[in-house]
Amino acid sequence: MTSLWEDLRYAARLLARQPAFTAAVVLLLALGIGANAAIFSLVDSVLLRPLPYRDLDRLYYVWMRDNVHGRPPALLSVAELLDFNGQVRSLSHFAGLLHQPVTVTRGSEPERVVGAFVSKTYFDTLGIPIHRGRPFLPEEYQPGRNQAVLLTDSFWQNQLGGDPSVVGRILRIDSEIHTVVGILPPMEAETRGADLYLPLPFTPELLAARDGRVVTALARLAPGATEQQAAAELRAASLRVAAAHPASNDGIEAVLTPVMDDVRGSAGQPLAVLAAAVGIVLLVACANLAGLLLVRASGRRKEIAVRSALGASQGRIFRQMITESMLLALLGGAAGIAVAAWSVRAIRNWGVLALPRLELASIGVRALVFTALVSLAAGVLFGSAPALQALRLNLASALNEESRGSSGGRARGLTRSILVVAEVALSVILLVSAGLLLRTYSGLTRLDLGFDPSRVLTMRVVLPAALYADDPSRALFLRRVVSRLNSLPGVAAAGGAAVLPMTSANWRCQFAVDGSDASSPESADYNAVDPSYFDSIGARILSGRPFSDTDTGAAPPVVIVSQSLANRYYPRQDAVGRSLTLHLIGHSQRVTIVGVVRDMALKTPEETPRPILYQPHAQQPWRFIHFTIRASGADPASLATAARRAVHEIDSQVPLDRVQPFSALIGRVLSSRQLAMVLLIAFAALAVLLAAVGLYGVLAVAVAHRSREFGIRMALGARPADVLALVFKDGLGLTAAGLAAGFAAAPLATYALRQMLYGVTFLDPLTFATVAALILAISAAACLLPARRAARVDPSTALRE
Amino acid sequence: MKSMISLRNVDKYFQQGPERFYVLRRVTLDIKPGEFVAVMGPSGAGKSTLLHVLGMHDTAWSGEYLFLDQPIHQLDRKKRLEIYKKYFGFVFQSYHLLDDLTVAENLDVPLSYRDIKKSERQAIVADILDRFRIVGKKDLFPSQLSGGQQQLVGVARAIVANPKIILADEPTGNLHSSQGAEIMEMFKQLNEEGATIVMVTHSETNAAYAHRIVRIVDGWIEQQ
Ligand SMILES: Nc1ncnc2c1ncn2[C@@H]1O[C@H](COP(=O)(O)OP(=O)(O)OP(=O)(O)O)[C@@H](O)[C@H]1O
Ligand SMILES: [Mg+2]
Repeated sequence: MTSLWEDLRYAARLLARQPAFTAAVVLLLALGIGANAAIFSLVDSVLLRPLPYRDLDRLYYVWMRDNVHGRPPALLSVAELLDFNGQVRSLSHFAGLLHQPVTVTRGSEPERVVGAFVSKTYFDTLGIPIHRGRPFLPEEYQPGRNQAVLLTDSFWQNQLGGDPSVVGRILRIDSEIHTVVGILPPMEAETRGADLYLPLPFTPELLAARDGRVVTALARLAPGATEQQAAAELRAASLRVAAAHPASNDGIEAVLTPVMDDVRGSAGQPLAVLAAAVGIVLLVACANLAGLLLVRASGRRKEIAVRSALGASQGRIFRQMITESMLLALLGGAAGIAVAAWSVRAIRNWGVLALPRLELASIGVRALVFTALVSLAAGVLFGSAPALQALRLNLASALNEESRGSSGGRARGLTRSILVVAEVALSVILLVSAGLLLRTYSGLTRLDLGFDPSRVLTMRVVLPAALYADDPSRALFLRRVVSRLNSLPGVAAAGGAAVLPMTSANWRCQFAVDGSDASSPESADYNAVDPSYFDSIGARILSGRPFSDTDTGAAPPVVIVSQSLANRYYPRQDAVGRSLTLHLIGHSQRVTIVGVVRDMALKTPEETPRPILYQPHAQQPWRFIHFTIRASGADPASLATAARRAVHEIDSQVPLDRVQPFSALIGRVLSSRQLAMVLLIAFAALAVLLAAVGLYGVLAVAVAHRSREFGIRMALGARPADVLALVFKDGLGLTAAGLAAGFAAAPLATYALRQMLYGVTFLDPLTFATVAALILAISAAACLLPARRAARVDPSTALRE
Repeated sequence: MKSMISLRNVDKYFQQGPERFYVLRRVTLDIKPGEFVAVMGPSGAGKSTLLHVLGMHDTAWSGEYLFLDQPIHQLDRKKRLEIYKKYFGFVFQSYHLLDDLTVAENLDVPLSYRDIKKSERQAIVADILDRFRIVGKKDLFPSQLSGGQQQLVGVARAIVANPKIILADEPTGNLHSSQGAEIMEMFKQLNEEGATIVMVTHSETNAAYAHRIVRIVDGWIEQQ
């Protein structure tokens, strides 16, 4: 114990005596360890940290899977929620939740917030207690008596200043009076992102719409029950429901997926890639440090030889060297935490859409523990090479070294060379991966979306149901706003639609083309748009006509279909003029196709085109309206103020939000890939920089060691260029070896990455070639300084040594 | 006959703190083509320094140095190097063999810097190994040779490129007398074939091979 203390003190003194060296090492480690700690805290908050629900691993989502049509699993209808509740003994709880934006009016300003309408058992199912006030009473779930509201902690804190007296007070929601009955506990990892919870009343209309599948269903496994049992029971219950309601439920089966899977979701792969990448960065940093310490240790050969000659055991010497490395590692780790805290803050700016729950990422206790462990591991990793080298020391030769004047230590040079080769190889792997993601990303941003989002400003209005109760009033609102927007200076075209592409909204409808089996309708994406919408976003009508002002509620119902819908259901014939049956929110109507519009990407730029059905907004006037305003100038954002004013001139009561350029929506769709790409590029750059520094270090030391050799060579007739070439040959030789090793290993890494790639193969020759060129150029730069120093060796001085 | 080497008032000093420590003082020296000159003097007198100036390894001095009428002190590094490669061979006091190269490879180094074909180079190296009777050692590394053997290789390397002028810094310092005599005989023969030789030595016996002895003390030359 005392010897450990002595070792520590000695190590500290040595490090303090070489402040520049110590600072360089700590900085290097801080970058390597800090990047790891930062990514760990992302992984921790996104993947590892449990949701604030009781027994998360026993919670499941329930979906309706259509076994006949093979469509993606859907939500449940309210009727189905009731059908299954209590039918499955393996599920102790069964609850539903429906998200819907609501307008809260306090004072004069109406405000859009997210409301979550929940069924009776919701809070029990998740195990969320009510902190202040009380839960909803059973009668508050009855239609007409549902004027109660529970506030989330964040809404209560941020909007109401955390005032405890709000419980029992009145809140105006969607023009109706609600009583605040309670406040939920703080749930920092809550995914649902709701501001308010409201009771979900089972109104006769909701119960009647058996195929209006809008409810997210959650279930909890009963104690002792297994997932298999629950799935089997659900299957049986599905058959019973289908028998009772063949029209809506034939071939439809309820299935389970663990909530945990959803939490991990699509973030899993990018995070795994980033975690691997930072691991590699740390390895490169360790290799680099090992090289540095090897040089330093060889400067201490004499000291170590003397210590051994004075009786220090090998174990003692090893321990002393390792203690020093550990001390460095811990200092580096401490500095790394600062780097990590800064990085996490920078990464958080990408926002929630890049990764779920990203906003919760922070350096917590778990990240600190992780950092400490990583630091110690790094210490062992980079400390053992120099420590082992100290053990292999040949006493006699070390003590006589100076007098022989030999450059010596080929083996030592070899270890360092291998380290540099490894560094280069690892950087190559990172560079290639980053390059592929970059190519993917740039490909995605240049994909043809089927419309032109540039120069388009978007904004959203949700008409309050109480003020716009009938269809004509909503249709009129839209028409008046659009015509006012069109008359604004700087506006090239303005239009309106119920939903926008590149938002997470997903409206579906069902339809049956004439001559097909009417009992199993096809489904398509759905939108309701005004006559100038397509024009405003630059979507081309391929045949037929756009909607016109005469396609009103009184006129015959018409639709426009997307190109892929037309091709699929009307192959080799003109879709325009054909009729089909459209099923929407529980009722059916005959509509005539008047036009075919180009396919549009709805969710992601690279998706395969989907069938889409468009209705005239005037014939289906939704309360949700997005306006699309194409600027005649370059900057759509400059129209924001005028556009807002235009809407409020028509109606100052309607809440207006999400005023943003269309390009921002697309940016958000790509943001998780952008995050992964930018971070990977940053890590690759860091690794390359470290490798270049490593190469530089090896060459610089080699040149210093070989100055006598260079002097002799010059005295024997070598030109400076010959000496320069010698150093370059060494340096580029190491680089070439690293490149070869990196290229051999890179396909393994990029193959694992291929699900994140689009438009480029995991062996993309352009990327590999570019990386090779880049690495060679950077190493040449790293060679330059040592090479020039070598060429400047003054023979007369070198030969005197 | 005209001088091959002509030094005029060459001064060389080392700055030590505020003081200048002179190693060469107003050295004026002429060496004619075909001459065999011995440089003698006590240790630390500046003999090696003088040789490095002559061999152009050292350019931090003042004065004039004419080599075959070319003002060395005015030439740039490239020009000097050209002249050096064409005319000079150098035997270092401390051998300065390249540790990572074998004996044969060490001998090849000067040739590799002159435009000589690979096959020709091998022949020349084989020839010189033979002449110095070190064929058996050709694949050994310098660390595997004795001091005397290393010196032998150093001498061999100096003459391998067939220089017109040989600068030798105590070429026999570590050789036993019979080996030393052999080297001197070789120098004598090379000299008779036309090579100019400037040799630093402590041994009067070796100095006897020279036509002329230049004595140097504390950086000053005593002409004879
Ligand atoms: N870099 C240097 N800095 C200061 N003084 C130096 C330096 N190099 C050599 N000297 C000094 O120059 C003087 C001449 O050295 P030089 O090597 O020419 O002596 P030498 O005559 O060859 O001696 P020896 O017979 O021992 O080889 C010595 O006194 C030496 O200490
Ligand atoms: Mg000397």
